[in-house]
Order: sequence, then C-alpha cells, then structure tokens
Amino acid sequence: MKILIIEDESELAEVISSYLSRERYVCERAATYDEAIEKVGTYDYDCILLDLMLPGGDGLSILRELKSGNKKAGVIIISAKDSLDDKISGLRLGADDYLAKPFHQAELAARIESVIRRKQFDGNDVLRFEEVEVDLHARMVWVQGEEVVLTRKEFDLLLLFLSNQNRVLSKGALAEYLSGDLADMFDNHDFVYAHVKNLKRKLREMHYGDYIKTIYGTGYRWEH
Amino acid sequence: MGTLKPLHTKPLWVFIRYAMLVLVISIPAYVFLINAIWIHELDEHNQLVLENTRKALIESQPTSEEMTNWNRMLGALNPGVRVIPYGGDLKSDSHYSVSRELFISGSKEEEKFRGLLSYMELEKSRYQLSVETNMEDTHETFLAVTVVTSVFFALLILGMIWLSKRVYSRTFQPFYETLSALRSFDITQNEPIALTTSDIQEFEELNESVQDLMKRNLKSFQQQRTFVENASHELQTPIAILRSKIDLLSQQQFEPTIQEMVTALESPMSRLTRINKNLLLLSRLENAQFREREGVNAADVITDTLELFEDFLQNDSMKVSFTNNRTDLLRCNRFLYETLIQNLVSNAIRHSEKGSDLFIEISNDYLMVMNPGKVELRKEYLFTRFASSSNENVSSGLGLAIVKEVVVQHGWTVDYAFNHGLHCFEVQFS
Repeated sequence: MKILIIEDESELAEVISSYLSRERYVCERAATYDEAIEKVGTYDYDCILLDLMLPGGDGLSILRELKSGNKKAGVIIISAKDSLDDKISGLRLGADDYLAKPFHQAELAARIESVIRRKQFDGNDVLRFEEVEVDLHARMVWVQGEEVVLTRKEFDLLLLFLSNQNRVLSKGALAEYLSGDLADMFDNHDFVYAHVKNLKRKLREMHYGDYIKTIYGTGYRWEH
Repeated sequence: MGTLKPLHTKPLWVFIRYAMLVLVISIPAYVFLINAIWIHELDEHNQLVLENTRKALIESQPTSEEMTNWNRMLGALNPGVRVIPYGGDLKSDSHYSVSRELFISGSKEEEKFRGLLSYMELEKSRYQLSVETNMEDTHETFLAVTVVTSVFFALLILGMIWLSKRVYSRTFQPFYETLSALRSFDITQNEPIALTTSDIQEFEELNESVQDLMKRNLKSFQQQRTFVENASHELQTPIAILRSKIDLLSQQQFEPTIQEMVTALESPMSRLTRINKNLLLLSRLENAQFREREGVNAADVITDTLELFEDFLQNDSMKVSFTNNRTDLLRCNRFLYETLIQNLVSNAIRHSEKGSDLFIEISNDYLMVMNPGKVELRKEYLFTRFASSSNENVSSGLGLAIVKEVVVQHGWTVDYAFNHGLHCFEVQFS
C-alpha cells in the first residue's frame, strides 16, 4: 500500500512516515505544492495525507486536482487550521476524512486503514485477523465464526487495535480516539479501562487468541 | 469624595454666593446713600421755608405782639416753623437732627426731625427762627431696602438657575454626546465610534484626543489578538511534532524508570494541546469568525452532549437530572452553542466529587447548570482567562472565558451564584 504524505513540516512528515512504515505501508513525502502536484500526477497512491497550508499553494487545490484526475486514492486532510470551514469545504471537495493537528499516530493509522478499506473494497469489506473478522460497513464482529455483540466504543477500540498491531496504545490516545475533543477536558481517562476490559471479556468468551495485552503503566498492545 | 453633582450647579453656587455677598453689602450702602440724599433734600427744603419766612417777616415788619400771633398762626399752618425772641448773639445758620416723641392719633412715637436754626434782627429785636421737617427713620429705610433687595435677589437666583441650565445644556450638548458615545464604545467591535463635531474649541480638542486614544487602543487590542492567534497557530506544528515523537517513543522498550517518564509526558502534552486549542478558539471567537446563525434545538444538543460525556460521568458515578422546559428553537451558532454546553458540563463534572448529582435546566429564557460544591468561587475572576478560581490544575483556565465570549457574541448574559451548596451557572437568553 502506498501512501503520500503532503506535509511541509519535515519533522512531522518524518515521524508519520516512520510510524506508518512499520505497518505494511510504503510512504512517500512531498513538502511543497509543486512537489505534491507532480507526485500526484505521476503516481498512484492508496491514501494521501494532505496538509492544507503548503508553501507555494493551497492544499485544497491539490484536492481539486486529484478529484478531476479521477484518482482513486483516499484523501485525509491533516490540518493545523482546525476550523469548521476548512473541514466542511475539504469534505465537500471529496476528502474522505479530516484530522486536526495535533493527533495521535495510532488514530491516524486507524483512519488510513478505514479510508483505504472503504475506497478499495467499495465499503463491502471484512477485515480479518486470524480467527477475528470485522465487517467495517455493517459494524459486526465474529470470532471463530460466532458473532460478538460489541458496543460502538468497543467496536471502535477493536478497529484501533487492529490498525495498530504490535503497537503500544496509551490510555490518553485511546481516550482521545473514543471521545475526540472531549478527552481534552479531563485528566482522568480511567473510563478507557472499563471499555477495554469489556472488549477483552467479550472476545475471550468466544475464545480469541487473547491478543490484547496490558502494558503496565503505559497502555495496551495487540500482540501476535 | 462627596455626592456627585451635575456640572452646571458647580459655578452656579459660586455665582449665587457672590451675588448674595454683593447684595448684602449693597443694603447698608443704599441706606447710607438714601439717608444722605434725604438729609440733603430736607436741608434744602428747610432753607427754602426759612427764606420764605424771613422774607415775609421783613416785608411785614411785625411788632412783638403781632409776632406772637404770627407765631401761633404759623404753628397752626406749618407746625415745623417757629419764630421765638432771642437774647443771644446772632449766629450763622446751623442744621441739626433730633428725635422726639410725637403724639399721632393718640399713640406715642419716636420721630426723627431734621431742623435748621437761623437768627435775625427785626426792629431792634432779635429772633431765632427754626424749621423742622419730619424725616424717615434709618431702620425703616433699612427694612425697605432689605425687602426690595431680597426680592431682586430671589429674581436673580431664579434667573440664574434657569439660564445656567439652558446655557449648559446647550453648550455641553457635544460633551454629553461624546460621553454617551464613549459609553457605547466596545473595543471588541473593532470600530472607533463617530463623535459629533462641535464649534467649541475645548470639546473639539477633547473629541480629537478621544478619537486618537480609541484608535491607539483598538490598534493595540488588534495587535494583541493577532499575536494570540498567530502564536497559538505557530505553536500547533511544534506541538504536533512533539506529540508524534512521544507516540514513537512510547513504542520503544525502555527500562521501567524511563518508561514511566515517557508515560508521564502525556498529561502535560495534552494540557498544552488543550490550552493552545482553546486560545485559538478564543481568538477566533473574538475575531467574530462564527457569524452564521441558525435555529437550534437547544435541548437536543444538551442530550447529545450528555451522551458524549457518558464515560466521564460513569467513571465518577455522577448522575445528571436534565429538565427541559424549552419549546422554541434557539437562534445561535450551533458550534458555539455546543462549545458552551460542553464547557459548562465538563466544568460541572470536573469540579464535583465522585457520586455527585448534577442538574441542568433549560427554558425559553435561561439555561442553568448546577453542581454541588463546598465553597463559593471567586466570582470576579471566574470568567477571566487563566484566573484560577480554585487550586485544581486540570482545566485549561480558558473554559469559562470561552463560555463568556460565546455568550457575549450572542448578546446573552452569564452569571454565577452559590446557593444551598450548589454552584449555579446561569445563561440568560435575551
């Protein structure tokens, strides 16, 4: 899977690329408007991460370019301009998702995962990991062929774990993923424990491989 | 400082006091003057009577017997004139004043007379001629002058009050206009107010200085805003980088002490993110970037928000009773209203102990968010930025400042009260 990171801040592009490269992604980078236009015109990508503020031009016009070129790449806007207008006009122009900076890498990985799935498998997609099957569209989960009924938050957590396998997910990252901006308002993120505990219990009842491990003092990891 | 008086009364009282002083001094002066004129006129009159009498005596050359008759007759006709035989030397004429008792219609009164004494020789006999004329008493004059002066003084005061009101209200018209314009001046509106021009030099100078002051204030306010917006904007990227590096770091396996340190980075990191995000939101709010208004179902937003907060509420085993008495849609900016609700509710959750009951009530006129507490918060700093009203360090110090700003943008009001152990935040929609 190829990902293009259009981001003028090289440090940030570096971190994103290094995080994603450990998954099965191949990352390329573009730091300016011209560079981005050139790469978008020449190659095909599965997902494009697009910063709206670029030297040399507006990120939204790259989006326009992409859509007119009939490219099938999914586009996720990553912007420091956390304003509603940008979000709305970006999504209206055909972006698949919008993530305001700063964000957790784990969340970005989960968003990329679902954008790519949605795009390439026409939303009719089942994510598989050994005995665990997840229907992203219908939001249903099976373990060993048996359906597991999860709450919305438990389902979202499972998706996050599957998109960040063998990664440590901190309590804060999980809280922010589940509650969005609201997590900012509290220092106490203990509610995450309850959701993870319930998720683990439900999956264990169906005899999954017990992949979710607690990393003491840090968070959780989907290990295999 | 005593009680405040309107401007025009200040010189008026000075004028009135001065006028009183002058008039009081004028009373004895008038009395003295009137007396002097009076005496002068009476002396002239006495002189005239004397001359006539003398002439008549010389023409008729009366004998001493005739003189007695004459005297009697004169006394009957003109009681002030007397001619009496005189034994001494002839002296020159002299004026005198005398008071004596007089019987007028049965009552005894002290009357004042002005007299003239003269001497003449007639047929070898010497006579003393005296002419006396009754004159007004000084204290009577004094009384009359005082009465008249008082009447005029009253007229003067009434006139001065009326005139000064009239003159001041006209002259100070531009001043009062400037004053009311200044009252309506709102630095956040980013517009200097127009002041009415005046043909009075001082007021024109005042207006110019005020305009100048406003412009400078607006400019520095604008600079401050731009600074905050730029600063928080510029901070976003380094924060994003820091955060992503921490994410990468936490993937590494370290010895436990370092692992702990890496984990401990998260909390200040999210606080930094939160503060910066709120600062950005505040400066956008102040720059009125959220102008769209729509009819919003205010109660639904609260229900949705409570659902979003479910995790945090459950975590602290809190219960929320929500009373909805609202029937109308709320005309507002949806995003800002949601932000307001989120800030008020998260505020209530954060500042309550585990197991507390929170109360939310909305009607067509107001919104109330209440949570139990022990001590009243310091109201004066509550809605200002970074002014901690308690010693808790979770909040960004900006939540209530944002609430205040949202309220201001919509022309609502927000107030805090502490009643029966409940912190109560009330937003009035009007």
